[in-house]
Amino acid sequence: MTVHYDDIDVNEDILLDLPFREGTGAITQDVAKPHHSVDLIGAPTWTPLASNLMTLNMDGATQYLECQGADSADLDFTTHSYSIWGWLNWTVDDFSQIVIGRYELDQSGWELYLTQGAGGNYLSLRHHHGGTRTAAYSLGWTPGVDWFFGVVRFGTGVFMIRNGVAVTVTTSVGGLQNPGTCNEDLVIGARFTKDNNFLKGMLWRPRVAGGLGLNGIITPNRFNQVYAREGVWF
Amino acid sequence: MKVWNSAYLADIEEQLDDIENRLILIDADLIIIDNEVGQVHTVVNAIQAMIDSLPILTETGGTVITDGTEQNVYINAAPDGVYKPICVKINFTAQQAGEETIVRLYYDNAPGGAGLLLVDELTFAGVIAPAMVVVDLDPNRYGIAVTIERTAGAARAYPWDVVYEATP
Repeated sequence: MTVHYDDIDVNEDILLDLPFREGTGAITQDVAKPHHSVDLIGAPTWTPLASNLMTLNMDGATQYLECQGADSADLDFTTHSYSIWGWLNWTVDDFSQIVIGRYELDQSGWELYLTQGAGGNYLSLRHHHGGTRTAAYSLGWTPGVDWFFGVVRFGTGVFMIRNGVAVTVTTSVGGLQNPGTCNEDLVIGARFTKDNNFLKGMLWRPRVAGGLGLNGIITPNRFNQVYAREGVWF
Repeated sequence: MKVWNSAYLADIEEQLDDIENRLILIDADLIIIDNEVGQVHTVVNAIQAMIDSLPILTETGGTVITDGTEQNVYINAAPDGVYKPICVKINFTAQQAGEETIVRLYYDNAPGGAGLLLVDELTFAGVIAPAMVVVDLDPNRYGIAVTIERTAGAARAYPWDVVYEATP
């Protein structure tokens, strides 16, 4: 008996899915239908876990992943609902580290990033629009721990999941505003200028789903199912 | 003020005894039900474990632009366990007369062994018809690669995709 990838409910509106199965080389393949071509820049380290699950480890200095803007136009979310999920384990180095984004600061697009401040360890989703930005964050993303993360944008609201459980989200006054239309490259583990805010640590299977209205929204229950299925590998 | 007949109390005591007996029986039933719910949980967990281990039929792909070196088309150098690659399809529509490419298939079959070893190779010369070449693949645990190398002619784009069954 086989399960078909596109029939799994969590994959209904999936646009990007990078399971890092290659285990070598400088290209990783997207198993979602759009087949985004994603390049590994600076040779991130292919690192199997004890379970033999292959992950990518980034050095926080020069390594990141990218997909050209022209090849990732379907990730240009404006009024769209969208979800981002996967696994990470970060080490604090740069105080602000990009997990994934397709944006230009204060102008356009979206980004998901980690920060450590006096108040704790933050995971933030930020939208850039019209010379400013709006954001939503949650706390408790302790460095050095394997975390399953799930982030969903719907209208002006955001909800976040950590290891299958919903966490408290604080949103900018007025909520998240629609990001401006963006033509930048998709970046994973680096700032949109690719010269700063490098992610340091492990990343496995970043995924993005998107759509209009209710499409692109992964429910907490579905995130929980993914966490239960994949958690045994960590 | 009401006047009570002590005979009524005896009736009530009898009824309370009856209720107590029924409660004992209900307690016993609840213990049985609790045990059965536990068994259902065990079965559900077993079913969940079985479902989670089901392989997922997955597809991916891209385009290789030949550069004269041997280039990976599809590679999984370190699978997380036994999995079932099914086939790689390569589109040779762009290849022209006088041009030549070699497609190679590699497997690794041992932990920490010799790495990917050549299993088969085939040369494709000139215009290929039909243009879609299919490379059949076998189940594998330690690694697999399909490569392409241009040995004559210009750089061309070769769209490809692979289908495999794997978890997670």
